[in-house]
Amino acid sequence: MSRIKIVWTGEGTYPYVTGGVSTWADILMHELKNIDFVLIPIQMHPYVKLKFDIPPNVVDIINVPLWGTEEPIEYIRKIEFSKIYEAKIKTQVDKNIDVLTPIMILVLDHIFRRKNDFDALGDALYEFYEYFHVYDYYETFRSEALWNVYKNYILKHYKDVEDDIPSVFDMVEGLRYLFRFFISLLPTLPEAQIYHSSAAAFCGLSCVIAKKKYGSKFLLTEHGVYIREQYLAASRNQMPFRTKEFLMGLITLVSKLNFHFADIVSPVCNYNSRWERKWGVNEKKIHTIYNGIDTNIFKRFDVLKEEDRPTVVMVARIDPLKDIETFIKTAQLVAKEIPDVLFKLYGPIVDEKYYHHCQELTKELNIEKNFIFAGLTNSPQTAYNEGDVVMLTSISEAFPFVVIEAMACEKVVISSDVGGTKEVLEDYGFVIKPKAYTQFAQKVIYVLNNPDIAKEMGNDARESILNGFTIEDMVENYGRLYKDLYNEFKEEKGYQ
Amino acid sequence: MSEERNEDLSDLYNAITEERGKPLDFWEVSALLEIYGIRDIDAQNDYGFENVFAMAKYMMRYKNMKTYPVKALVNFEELLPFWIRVLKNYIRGLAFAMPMFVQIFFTLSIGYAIWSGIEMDQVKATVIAVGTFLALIVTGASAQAIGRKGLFYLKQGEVILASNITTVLLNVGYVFVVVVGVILILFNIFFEVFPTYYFFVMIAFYFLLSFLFLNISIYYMFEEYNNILYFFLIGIVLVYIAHSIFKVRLPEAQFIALIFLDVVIAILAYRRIRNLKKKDVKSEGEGLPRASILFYSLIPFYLYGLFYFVFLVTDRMVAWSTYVEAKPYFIWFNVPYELGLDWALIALVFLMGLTEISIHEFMYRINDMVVKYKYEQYKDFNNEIYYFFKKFNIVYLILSVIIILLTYYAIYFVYTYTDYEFTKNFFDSYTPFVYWVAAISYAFMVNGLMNVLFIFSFSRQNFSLKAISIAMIVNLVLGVMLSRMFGLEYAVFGLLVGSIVFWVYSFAYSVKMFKKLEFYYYSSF
Repeated sequence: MSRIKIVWTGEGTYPYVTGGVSTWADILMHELKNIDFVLIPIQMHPYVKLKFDIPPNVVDIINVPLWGTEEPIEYIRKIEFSKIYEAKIKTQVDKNIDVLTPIMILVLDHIFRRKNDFDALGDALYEFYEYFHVYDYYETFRSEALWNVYKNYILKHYKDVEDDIPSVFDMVEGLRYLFRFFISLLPTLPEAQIYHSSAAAFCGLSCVIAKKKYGSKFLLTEHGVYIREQYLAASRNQMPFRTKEFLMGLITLVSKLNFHFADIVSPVCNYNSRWERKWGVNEKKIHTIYNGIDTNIFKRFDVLKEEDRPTVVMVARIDPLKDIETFIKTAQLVAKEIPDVLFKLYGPIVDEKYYHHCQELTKELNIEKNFIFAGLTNSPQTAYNEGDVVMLTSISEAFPFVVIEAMACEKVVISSDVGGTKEVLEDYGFVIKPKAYTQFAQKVIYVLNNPDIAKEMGNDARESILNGFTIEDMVENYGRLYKDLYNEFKEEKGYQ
Repeated sequence: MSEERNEDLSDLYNAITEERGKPLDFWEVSALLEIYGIRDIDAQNDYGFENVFAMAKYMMRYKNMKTYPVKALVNFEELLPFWIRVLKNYIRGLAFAMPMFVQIFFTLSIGYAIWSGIEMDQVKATVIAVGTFLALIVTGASAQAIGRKGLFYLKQGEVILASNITTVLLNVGYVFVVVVGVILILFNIFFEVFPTYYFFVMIAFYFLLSFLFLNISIYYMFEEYNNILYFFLIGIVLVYIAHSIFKVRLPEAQFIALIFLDVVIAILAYRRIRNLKKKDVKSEGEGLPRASILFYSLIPFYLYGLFYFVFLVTDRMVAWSTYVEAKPYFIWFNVPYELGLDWALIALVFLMGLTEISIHEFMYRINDMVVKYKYEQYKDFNNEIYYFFKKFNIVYLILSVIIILLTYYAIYFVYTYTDYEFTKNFFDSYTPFVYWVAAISYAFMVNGLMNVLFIFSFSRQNFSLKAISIAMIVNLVLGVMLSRMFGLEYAVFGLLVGSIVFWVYSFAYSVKMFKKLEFYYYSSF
C-alpha cells in the first residue's frame, strides 16, 4: 500500500502557536509516522517562529499569512518573482472582471444570507481559486472595477434598510475583510487523498477546493465551536453593527461551507456537536473523537510541599471565562470549615483588570492566608499533584484538558458543568452548576474530610482515563478514520 | 412556544451584553448566555425554555432597549483642541526641516556651518556643493526606503523585524555610497575633472555627509526630529570650536566636526536599532520577505527619494554648468544664484511646517467622517473631504504668500536697517530675482509634497513617483534651455515650471482621489 498523504490545515495554531490544538496536531504528526503530511497553517502574520520540532513525515509547509505582507502571495506560493510580476502586469492590462463578478455576487448573497446554495458556492470558490492562479490577487482587489461591483451590491442591498444604516466605514470594511480572509484561497493545493481541517474556519476552504479539484476526502475536526468563538470576539471588540454583520456573515458562510462539504465532522466532545447540529450538520457525519493525554506524564507522584495544608488546586488562566471569583468564594466558605485550607491558582494573567478585581476580592473576603495566585506553571502535572482536590470553575469550555489531566493524576476533580466536562467526569468526580460556589464548597469539604473516598475516586478516575482518553486512543481513532477515508477515496477513484 | 412568554429577562439581557456591541442575532445572544454560565438545563429549569438557543431568541426582543458601545477610529479623549493641535503639528513639521534652517542660519550669521562657508574660495565652494548634492542624491533613495520599511514593521509592533530590515537597508545604503564614491574616484583619476586637493575636499564631503544623512535617516524613521536638530547644533558648535577658537581652517574644521558626528551618530543609530530587539518580548522576528519582493516593493521609494533630491539640486547644477567667462571647471559655484536659493530655502523651511498639519488634519477628518456618513452618502463623504482639501489649499496659498513676503522683508529689513555684512550681497545682481522665483517654486513644491503624502498614505506610490519623475525632467530640460538661451539665472525657471508640473500632477491625482475617496480609502492596503 502506498503511503497516505494528508494535507492538514489550521488557523492560528500548529506549528507556530502553542496550545491545545497545536499539541493535538503535533501528537498526530509524530505518532502517525506512516502518513505523509503537508501543512497549510493560516497565520495572522508571517513573523512567528516554529514552536515544534517538525517530524520527517511532514513533507511540506505552505504558510498562509493574512496580514503583515505587502504582497499577499509572497509567502504562500513558492514561485519565481518573474511569475508574480507577470501576473501583475497581465492583471493591470485586463482583469477580466466579468469572470469574477458573478462569483463575488454569489459570495455576497451568501454573506447577507440571501442564498443558501452551498454546492453552487463551492463551485464559485473553486473558480475563484483558479482565477487567482492566473490573475494577481493584490492588483485585482485594489482595482476600481472590483470595488464598483461590491459597492453597487451594497447600495442595492441596503436600499430599504431603516435600522442601523451602515456607514461608509462599514461598507469599506466589508471588502477589506474579503480581501484579507480570501487570501486563504491562494495556496496552490497539493494533490492528496485526504484534507484535514482543524476548524470549521477559513482553513477549511482549502479542503473544499481540494475536494472539488482532486476529489480528496475532507475530515473536519472541531476543537471548540469556531463560529461561537468568532461571535464572542466580535461582540467583545464592540465592532460596529454592520461591520459585524458582514464579518459574521462571512464566517457563517465559511463554517457552513465546511460542514456542507466535510465527509466527516469530528468534534472533540459530544457537547460541541450541539452547535454543529443546529447548523444543520448531518448526524451521520458526526464522529466524536476525544482528545488524549500522555498518562506517563500525568500520573500520581509525591510533591514536596512548603506547608502541609489541605490544598485545592486550579490550573486556569486568569480570565473572566474561568470565573476565578467562584474559586475565591469557594475558598472563603471552605476556610470557615477548614481554617488551614490552601487554595492555589496556577495560570497566567491574561486580563489585568480582572486579576486586580480578583485580588481585591480575596482581600474583601479576608482569605489572603488561604489563597495564592501562583502564576504560570510549566509543569501542570506537579501542580495537580500538589492538590488534594482539583477544581475547575469555568463558565465556558469545550473539552478541558485540565479535567482529564488531573483525573489521570488520580485527583478528585470538582468542575463546573460546562462543555463536554460531564462526558468524562460524571461518576468519577463532581460536576456542579456554574457559579454555584456553595455547592462547590460542600463538595470540596466532603472530599477533604474523606481522604479514603478521595483516594478511591482518584483511582477510578485514572482508570477511566486509561480507558479512552490516552494519546494512544486518540491516535488509534484518527488512524482508523484516515484509513477509512483513504479507502473511500480509492474506491471512489476506482469507480470513475 | 417559549417565544410567546412574557417573562422579563431584561436584567439578564443587560448583564450578558455589558460592555459588548449590539448583538447581531440570537446566535450571538446564545453565545453570550453560554459564557454567562447558562446551560441548556438552566434554560429549562430556571427559565422554562427548551434550550439556550430558544431563550436567546426570546431575549432578542430587548436588543433595541439600550445603546451599545462602539469602538471609534478617532479617540476624541486623546485629541487636542484644534489650535493646539495645529500649532503642535506645525512645530513638528518645522522640526523636520529645522536642520536645513540651522545650516542656512549659521551660514548667514557666523559665516559658516557644517558644510558651507561664505569666505571660502569659489573652487572650494564648488566642490563642497557638488559633494553635498551627490550625498543628498545617493542617500535620498536609501532614506526613503528605510523610512518606509522600518515604519511598516514598527507600526505593527514587529520591532525585531524593524531592527533587522533597517540594518539591512542601512548597510545597503552604505554599500551604495561606497560604490558611487569609488566610481567618482576612478572617474577623477582618469578624467582629472578637479585638481587632487579639491577633489579630495569634494569626495570627503561626499562620504562624510552621505554617512551623516544615512545615519540620521534612522532618527527620521523614529520621528525623533528633535534629536536630529541637536546633532546639527552639536556639529555647528564643533566647527565653531575648531575654526574660531583653535583656528583650524575651513573645510578641515568641518571635516573634524563631520567625522565626530558620523562616528557618534552611527554608534547611537546602530545602538538604537539594536536596542529595539532588547526591549521587546512579544515579537519573534521571523518572516522577512524574500529579497526580490522586498526590493520590488521598495523600488518606488528608492526612485522617489533619488528623483526628489535630483529635482532639488537640478537647477543649481544647470545654472552652475552654464557657460560664463573664465569658468575653470564644467561646474562653477555661482554666489548670487546660491544666495537667492538659500534665501528661498528659509521660506521653504517655514512652508514645510504646514505639511505635518495637512496630513494629520486630513487623516483625523477622514477617520472621523468615514463612520459618520452613511453608506449611500459616500459621495457626500468624498465631497466633505474634498471641500476640506480645497479649503486647506486656499489657506496654504495665503500662508505661502505671507511666508514668502515675510522671508523677503526680514532680510530686507536687516539689509536696510543694520550694518550686518552678510546680507549686503543679497540685493546684488540677480539674487532677489532668484529668490522670488525659487520661493514661489518651493511653495508649489511643498504643496505638491503634501499631495504626494496623501498619495503615499493611500498606497499609490507609483503616482508620486510619476509626479516627481516628470517634474525632474521638466526642471532639467527647461532649465538647460533657458539658462543657455538667456543666462544662468534663468535655470531657476526650470525649478519653477518643474515645481508647478509636480504640483499640477500631484494635485490632479489628489483631486481624483478625493472625488473617489471611498474607493481609495478602501484600497489603501
